[in-house]
Amino acid sequence: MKISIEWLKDYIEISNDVKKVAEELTMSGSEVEEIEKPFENVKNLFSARIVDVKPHPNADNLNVCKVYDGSIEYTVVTADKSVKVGELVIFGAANHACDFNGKSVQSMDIRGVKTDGMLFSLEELGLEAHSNKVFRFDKEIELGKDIVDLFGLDSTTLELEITPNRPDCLSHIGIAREISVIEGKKLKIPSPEVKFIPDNVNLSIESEGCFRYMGIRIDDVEVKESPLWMKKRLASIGLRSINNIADATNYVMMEFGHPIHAFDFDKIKSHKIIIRDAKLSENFTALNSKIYTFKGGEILIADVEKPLAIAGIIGGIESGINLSTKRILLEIATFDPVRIRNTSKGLNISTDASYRFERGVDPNDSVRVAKRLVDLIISIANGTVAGFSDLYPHHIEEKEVTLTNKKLFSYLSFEPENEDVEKIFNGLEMKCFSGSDGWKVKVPTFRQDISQDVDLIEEFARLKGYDSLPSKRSIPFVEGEGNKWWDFKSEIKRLVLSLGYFEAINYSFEDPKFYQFFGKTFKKGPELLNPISPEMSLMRSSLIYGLMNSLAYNVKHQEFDVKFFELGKVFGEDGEDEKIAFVSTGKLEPFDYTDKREVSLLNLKGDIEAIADFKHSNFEFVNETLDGFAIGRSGLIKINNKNCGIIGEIDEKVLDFLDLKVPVFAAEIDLKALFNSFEKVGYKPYSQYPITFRDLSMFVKKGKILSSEIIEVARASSKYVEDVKVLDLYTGKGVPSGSYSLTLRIIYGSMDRTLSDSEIDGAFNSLMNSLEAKEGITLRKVQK
Amino acid sequence: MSDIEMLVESLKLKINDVKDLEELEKVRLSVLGKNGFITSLMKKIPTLDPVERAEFGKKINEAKSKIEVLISDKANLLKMEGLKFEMIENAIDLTIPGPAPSVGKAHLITQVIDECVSVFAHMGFDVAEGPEIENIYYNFEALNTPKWHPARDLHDTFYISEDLLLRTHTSPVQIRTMERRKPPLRIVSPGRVYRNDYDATHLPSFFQIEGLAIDKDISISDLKGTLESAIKALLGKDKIVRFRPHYFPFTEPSVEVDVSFSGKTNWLEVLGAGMVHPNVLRNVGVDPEKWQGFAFGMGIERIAMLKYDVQDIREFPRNSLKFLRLF
Repeated sequence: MKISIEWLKDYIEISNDVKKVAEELTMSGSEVEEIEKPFENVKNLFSARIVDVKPHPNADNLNVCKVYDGSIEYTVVTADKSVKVGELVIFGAANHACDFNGKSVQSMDIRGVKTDGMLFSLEELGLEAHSNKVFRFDKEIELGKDIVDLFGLDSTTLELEITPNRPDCLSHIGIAREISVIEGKKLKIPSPEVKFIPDNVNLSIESEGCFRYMGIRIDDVEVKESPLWMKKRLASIGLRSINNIADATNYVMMEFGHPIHAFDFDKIKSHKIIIRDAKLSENFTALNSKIYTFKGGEILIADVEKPLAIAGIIGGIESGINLSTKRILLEIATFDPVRIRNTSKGLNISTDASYRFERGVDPNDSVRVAKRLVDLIISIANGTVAGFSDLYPHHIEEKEVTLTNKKLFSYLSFEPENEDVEKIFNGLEMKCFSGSDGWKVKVPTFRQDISQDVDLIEEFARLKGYDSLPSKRSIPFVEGEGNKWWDFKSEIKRLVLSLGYFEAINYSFEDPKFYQFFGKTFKKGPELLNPISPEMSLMRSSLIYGLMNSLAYNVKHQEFDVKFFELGKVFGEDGEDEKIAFVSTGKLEPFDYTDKREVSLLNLKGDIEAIADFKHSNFEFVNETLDGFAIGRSGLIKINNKNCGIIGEIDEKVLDFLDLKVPVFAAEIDLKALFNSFEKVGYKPYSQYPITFRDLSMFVKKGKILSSEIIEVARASSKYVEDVKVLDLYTGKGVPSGSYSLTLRIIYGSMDRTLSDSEIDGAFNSLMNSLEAKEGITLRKVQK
Repeated sequence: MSDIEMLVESLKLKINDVKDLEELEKVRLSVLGKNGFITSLMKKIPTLDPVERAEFGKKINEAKSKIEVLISDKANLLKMEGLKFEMIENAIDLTIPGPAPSVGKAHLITQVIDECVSVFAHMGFDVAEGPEIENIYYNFEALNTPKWHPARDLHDTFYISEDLLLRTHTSPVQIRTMERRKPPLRIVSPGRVYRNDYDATHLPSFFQIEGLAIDKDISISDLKGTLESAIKALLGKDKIVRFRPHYFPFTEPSVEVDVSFSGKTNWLEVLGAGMVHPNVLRNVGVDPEKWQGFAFGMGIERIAMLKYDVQDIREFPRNSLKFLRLF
């Protein structure tokens, strides 16, 4: 919201140090976001006299004029054919002058006539919404005078952020009141003497949503331009002048914060105002020329036939004021903020009026606002008060709020002087009474935000200044309960980082098109009702989607060796789970030039096993065809026979979708399952005697026997087997097709002695015999 | 000087000039070998007369042991030199880059969350987490923000259904925690939040960390002290902190906290805070006449950008390795 410093001076003395005022407002809760010079763009415009006017030789609708600024004569072309010799105008020279928007004046060739500059209207000075003529001074003025000085345009405006609880600050008087408390200065509120005699305005309130409605009829008004001072003030806070009546309503709204509407009294059918709820499908054309269709229940200002305005939001195009209006009806009303807000949201219209009404407007200032408004209108548009009516069905009373000293002292952690407290409350126009154990405070109705003791504490704290409150570092000790889940996640992250994976954090949104590739592999995540875009319309059901995108981004930016993991939430129809997922491509060890290997599916599996081993957990991997993964290269990860993850090589179709030309491996594990699988760690006796090993190579035919079965056979082959390790895995030259060569190392040992060669040979021979008997195994060589 | 002494002296010079072990062996053989000079002199001893014999024998033996020491010293010296030469041949240039294993890095968001959690953990705050798809009650109503409330305009909300939304802040965790745990308590809740707002300076989903401290007598001064201390721990002791009145439906009084990096001139908002609104406490069945406390929340991306001078918020969801390696 914009507040004019010059305007504020009507109500309170303002020091010349605007920065200090801004700082004080900011530090008391009305944050000044910017100190602006609204007319700073207007440059090098001077008063000048028309000394010659001729029709344009090549255009009937243009005149060519000579203007004189006291030293030089310039040529201009104007479309304002009413300009006469001798008139005083505003001239801006080409390449020097700038208008309100910062647009500089150019020298032009207008149909054969070269111009030296242009004549300005109030629109180009930002003082009028639309001008249809160039500006003329109405009295004699010195030539060559700067317009900024002549008009007093060197004004200052504050751009404020007013929080939604403070509608009372959405006005010049509201801000002046704040300053008056901060600086301890007196506030002057205009209160002209105007008498209203209830008569001649026919009102009927038929809506619960209307708290108060005051109608004032003024006859014989002269609708015309507003005086320059008013245009300037409105322009300085970003409003353009329309006509004197509309401007006066806006002006008083910006003064008191109470929105006002003016109707053309003669456009009201039967001269009767009915405040009622809208009917379903009722139509209405608003001032902005848009047609609105009501859902029913919106509060309307209507006559006996049709809606005239959407209450508290916007007026109608037909009942508005125009230059031929003679009699007006002024509305000073208060409506239910919730209903105004719902209508404003529902119809998607936000206006200065709706902004204030939905935050809460004080019905009890209506008389004061009415007097000020009528006095102002009569002074700039003539007219006489011809009618008045005031209905107030929903009375709002002052509240009394109690604040105990105990609470006040406990919140502040010190005991303020009674005088200090009283000064602040009184400054806010709150009558307060100090008792033995605290305060009773009468809260004026323009402060609907204050209803509890803590609200009063805030008023004291913010106006006393937070900087002046003590700062303590002594909150009492509380025994925490810890968070094992959080600690577990941190530990897993560190472990995975040490395996060379970078952490990625992706959006939780997913592209349904991408999801489709994974068909039955993942359940579909919930859809958003109002997504940013179709590509971000689904909640992710797997972390792999986002990781694939991150991987693709890097590969496309010449990062060919990518190992990513992400730990985060995935979503299903029945809730959300946390998972950890991995993707990898490129070199296994990009910074190790002694290691030329590329990442493989088994490397990814090995990394996952390393995590399991680290925490003494045991995962099982089972081949399974999965949508989105390459045939024969995917499977399930199981813990204690329960599915808890997937692993595989990403399918070509998915790679094509992402425009990737490299193999990518991916896996995902449920974190809860991982957490629960971890064995409790503790001491177990281990053998103190030397071990012996035997290595065994064999060809294994794929599809006939699983390597896990072979290892299981080896493990179970003798009570002396301590461990079985894979020494080598090889396919290629010398290995029959469809087979692979596997070398195992069988480690033998005993808890109580060193085993003899004959014991080990016996065990090893029996293992060889049992393996040889298995279909799909051909033993190759035996090594001692 | 006797002949023998002269012989020893000349041998000393000869041994000194020897270049390798092979040559030294030749010298040794020429003196101490079967037909060596000393050996043949010793053979002469029995032929001498007894008086001369003792004298001569003593001299020869002395000379022999002197020569033996000379040769073995030289041999040791030559061996050492040989070893050294071999080592130089096999030396490793330590300026050659090592074949390094890859170590990953945590995302900057994680690093900053961990820093924040650590700062508050040292003050006794537990980590608490909650769901990201949240019931409208926990996200708004329970936090004293009814449907009609204009403050809801500040939260452009993603909806899953009429009742379910993507949480717009981590504050629902406060409610869920207080429903489960009775005061006194101290929690921080880091996590992802969502707003339907996407442009050069806003992400549709980002991270926050929120804190809550409820006790018998917690005051605005405790809020000030705790947050000053935390901000200085996070952003540096030299930073200046100010508390500016603000409004949030779920705290009263409410403040925003600004930090200045360059004296008291350029203030940057870093967090929102306040004393927990009595209505919020009532909503979870905690009596505001007995318990009070403060809550605060801040944006992780914002802290990360301030602390590490990240200029573009869109770096965070991009996951460029070039970006991730920087931190």
